[in-house]
Amino acid sequence: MKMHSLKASLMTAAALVLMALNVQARAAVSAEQLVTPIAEYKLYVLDNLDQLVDHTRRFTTAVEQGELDRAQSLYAPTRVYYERIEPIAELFADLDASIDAREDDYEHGVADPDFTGFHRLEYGLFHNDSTDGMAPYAKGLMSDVNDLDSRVRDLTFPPSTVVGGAAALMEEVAATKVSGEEDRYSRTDLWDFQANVDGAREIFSLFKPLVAQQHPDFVARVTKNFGDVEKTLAQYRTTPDDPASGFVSYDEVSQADRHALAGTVTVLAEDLSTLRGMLGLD
Amino acid sequence: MNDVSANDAPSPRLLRIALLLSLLLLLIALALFTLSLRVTTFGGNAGQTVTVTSDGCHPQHLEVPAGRRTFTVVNHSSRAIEWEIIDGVMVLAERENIAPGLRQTLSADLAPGHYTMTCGLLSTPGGTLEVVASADGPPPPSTADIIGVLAEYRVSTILQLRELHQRIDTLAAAISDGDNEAMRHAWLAARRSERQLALVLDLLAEQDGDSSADNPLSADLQQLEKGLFESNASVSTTAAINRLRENLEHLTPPLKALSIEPSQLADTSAGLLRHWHDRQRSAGEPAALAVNDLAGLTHGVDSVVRLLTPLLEPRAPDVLQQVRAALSALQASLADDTTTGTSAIQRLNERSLALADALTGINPALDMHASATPPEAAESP
Repeated sequence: MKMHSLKASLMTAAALVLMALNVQARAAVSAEQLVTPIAEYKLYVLDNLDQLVDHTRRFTTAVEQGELDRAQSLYAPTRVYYERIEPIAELFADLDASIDAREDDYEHGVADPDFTGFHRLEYGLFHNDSTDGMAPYAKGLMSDVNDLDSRVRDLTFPPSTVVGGAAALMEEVAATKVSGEEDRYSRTDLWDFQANVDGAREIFSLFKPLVAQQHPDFVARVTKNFGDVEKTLAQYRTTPDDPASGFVSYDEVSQADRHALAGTVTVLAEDLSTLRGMLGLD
Repeated sequence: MNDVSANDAPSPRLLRIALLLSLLLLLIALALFTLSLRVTTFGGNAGQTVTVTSDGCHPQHLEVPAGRRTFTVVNHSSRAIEWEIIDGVMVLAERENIAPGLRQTLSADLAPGHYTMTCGLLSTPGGTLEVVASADGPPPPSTADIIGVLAEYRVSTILQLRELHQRIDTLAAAISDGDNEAMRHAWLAARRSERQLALVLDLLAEQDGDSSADNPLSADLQQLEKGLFESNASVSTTAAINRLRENLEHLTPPLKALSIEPSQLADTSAGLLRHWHDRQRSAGEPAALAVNDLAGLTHGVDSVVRLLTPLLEPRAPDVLQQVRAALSALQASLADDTTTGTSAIQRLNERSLALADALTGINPALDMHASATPPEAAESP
């Protein structure tokens, strides 16, 4: 009995010490310090939106003018700018659905009248190998992207969404990119994959200075895992290791590399999900 | 066990009862343990459970009090789902990729109002979530709210600085071309940009201990104004524009990094409008230039009001209403350039002061006070 109560009080004391340490650790990041990286992140998103508007204009013009080859080649490079800023873009439920939903999100699949956007165009361009009937979807996509651009400009970014965005992007990769279901007709999944990694890495880099001192192991582990993922991805560029070149078809990715990527990305998602707590934003 | 003597072994019956009793105790302990786990998982009485099947959310309609609420989402459908709380078209909170058969929790800060819930497929009808006001009204803005506003203000400052940069470049080009009409036009545009940034320019000058004089950019622009608009002035416009560009280069980095207190947004905006009003009445500078200044200032106030709107809306709709009414009245007077002359100036005087007064209602309504120590992220509720 005595032993038990001694043990209990020891544990209570330990818990109190831990709580005190925890409070101190969290107070080390002041609200003021968070303003800069969040503002920088919005500027990053705005730059990518400019590019998205620009590329979407070229892509949808090619579709409307019936230039199949050009439209096919512009599909993946255009999506990159959406995939990088997905944590913010998907905050608008209506536009996320009309721009980026997949056929499985609808009861009637490809035939569903509400199925529009990138993946509806992907189905036409890569499954049917045709631009026939695609002009209305191209027009709709352009107007949705313009709408997204103006809404994001007016949006005050919620700090916890920004910080949580790094993990959200990696979860997205783990859930839908590694399986190859995102771009099932074009097989351009690696473009999206890289763009999600870019977006997550941007967030990590912006907030890293605030946690580097207190959590050096976390920073080292995440940096190494990002490096590993990018190294594997770089092997599948059309000109290997040339960051300016595109990617080969997802079909060419070996089973071993798919497994390795899945593992690293899952660890990244788990690690990055602790960033919010480290910054006192949970 | 008093009847069991030292010589006698305990009867098998007694042993069996003891065994049963200890088993029972074990079961009770296990039950208590499981119960305590359940309580922590469901977040006590605040938790709501929503089960998603192939035909939607169960229950289809939820009602919770305002504040931080926890939801447990159980996926009883055959595919991975995401569950979201949506306000109009905005996703307020979401849990993505909940695998079939699994449950996930999420917490969200909810203000009173009607929300929808996504329940599996986009074509599946959504559920509804009714958040009812709690008796003690909405809490003051959270640390995260304040960080969001200050970060957004930083972004708009940086974007406005880019614009000021471009306009000063245009002005410099017009000056080297020597085209009088273009010079005046470009000066007015540059001055509006500078006045739009007056809040941060003044705060920076104050931090540098130089609160009495005009900020350097304003002083340079006023020097140029003399050269461009006063026919008999002997000002070297070339020297003045060069100094302006140097000062802009010099001030851009500290302006981009300037840290401000949330209460300074409304207070400094009100102060700038009052200052314009007082100077306009005493100095009697050419009306067109004063109106141009006010147009720039009003742009700056407009961005402050936009930023504070989401904070004011749930907490002080009456204050927000007054500010918006005063702002649009002033904007309407500024846009109405058909009526120049004393009565129009008189109206701008009244309306700038009315907007300043409305702005001073903001900080008390949001419980924000001047020169408070910056809030710590760890203190978020």
